[in-house]
Amino acid sequence: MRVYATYLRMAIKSMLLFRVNTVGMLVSTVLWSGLTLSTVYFATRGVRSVFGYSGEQLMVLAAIQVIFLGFFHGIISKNMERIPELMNRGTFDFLLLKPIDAQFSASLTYVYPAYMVRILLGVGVLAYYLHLYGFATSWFSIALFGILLIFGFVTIYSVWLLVTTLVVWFPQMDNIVDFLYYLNVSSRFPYEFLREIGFMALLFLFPFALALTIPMKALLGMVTSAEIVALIFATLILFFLSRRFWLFALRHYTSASS
Amino acid sequence: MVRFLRFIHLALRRGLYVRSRSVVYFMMSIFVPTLLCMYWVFVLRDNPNLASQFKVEQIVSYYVVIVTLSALLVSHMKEWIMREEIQQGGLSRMLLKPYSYYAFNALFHELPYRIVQGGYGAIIVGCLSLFFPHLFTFSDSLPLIGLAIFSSVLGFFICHNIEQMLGFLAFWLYDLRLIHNAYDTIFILLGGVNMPLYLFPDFLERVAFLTPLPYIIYVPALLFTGQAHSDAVSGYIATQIMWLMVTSILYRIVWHAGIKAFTAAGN
Repeated sequence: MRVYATYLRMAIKSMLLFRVNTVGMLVSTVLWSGLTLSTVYFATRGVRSVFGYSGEQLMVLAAIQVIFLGFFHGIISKNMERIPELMNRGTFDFLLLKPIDAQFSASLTYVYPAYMVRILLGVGVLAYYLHLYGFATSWFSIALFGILLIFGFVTIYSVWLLVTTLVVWFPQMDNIVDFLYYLNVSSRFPYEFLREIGFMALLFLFPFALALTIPMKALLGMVTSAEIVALIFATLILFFLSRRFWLFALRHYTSASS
Repeated sequence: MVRFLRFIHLALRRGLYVRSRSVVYFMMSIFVPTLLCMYWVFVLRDNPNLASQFKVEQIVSYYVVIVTLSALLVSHMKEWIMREEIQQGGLSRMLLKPYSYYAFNALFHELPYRIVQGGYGAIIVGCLSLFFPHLFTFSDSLPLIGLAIFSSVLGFFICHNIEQMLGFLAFWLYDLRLIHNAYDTIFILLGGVNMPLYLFPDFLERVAFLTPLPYIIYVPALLFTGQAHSDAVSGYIATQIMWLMVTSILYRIVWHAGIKAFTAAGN
């Protein structure tokens, strides 16, 4: 906790030091959020219902995705982007030598507070849609939404870690992390959509859709206890697997020529 | 001629050398359009009221062609020009070579990747249209297919010019992430990558056609799928030629001004 507080302090100092970069990041993140929201908005225009969801409910899911990605990109993604580079250049050795868990320092060192603007934008759109379409929410549903969103966060973190760890064996595929950004798009769709596509897609993309659909359902009061259990179960399994896989990969890491 | 062919051969070998990277890049270009395509198929299934506006075959063909064309035509060289050519000084080496930098980038740097990734797309289109012919409607007019191919070549060069100019901004600016991100987002939206422009509100479709972005892959896709009105085809091609001329002139201006500002490594 003390180490992470230091990382946060460094992040804020870095943000204040490189002000133009920060402004660039702020504008970029607003643009990408705008793209997400506008795509879903245009895609749900005139749509009464699709796989059991109304267009407005899909917009709520899109707003939740914007909030989620604000947190995820601000805390995790940029660190994951560094892992292939660290391994290819051999600088990953420095992390291994430090008296901190390598997974922690590789995936959580850098924090980008500029992504807060994405979270604020998402919260604004979410509040607008909840108010405009009269979706009934209570303090309980909001609290449950927050808790399940944390589980969803850990689920997607685990999938990212599982995939990024492959770089230990396939250093040429350092663009695999870029692909994960695209996989995140599947969280824009409810898991019922993936269920309709078929088993393989379900297997591959299920965690992404599950991670956001269930918190959304909790917020709108549509969630069942089986869905909550499924999300918690998936989170625990994936986190355990990703941790084991990471430790297994470290045993095969052979420094710069890995 | 032999030297030129050897040049192309080396370029293709270079493209094939990093096959795994190309596969990942190709997967990136197909992933979101595939999801959106399936979304629209379900929308049409659950909303019969929308069936009068567009058909399943129309939307599936559109996305399949868009995926192939974006792999084949959309250049991704702005980051490379910015970082390796200008900021790290790689351009100095290129300026000493006895051929044009533009041709080198088009033929050596970009073409191999486009061929490899476009090849993946062509294989997918071929397999899908062989096994599920009822899902696709492609243009069956030979002259229109010829025009679609011509339009694709124009689209490639329009995109190539824009990408290079965006990279050249590094002659004057250090951090281009904002500009590059802005371009990428606007291209995805107005270039028809995420969804066909005819599904947009009218005003936005009109705004899109005021920019060169729909002329990169959207117009060729309409021609290949036979979704372009026959009386609009000549207008599309003429506008593409106009955008190619405009971007080529701008390219020359930016390139010559940039070279004067270039101070090799340390830019």
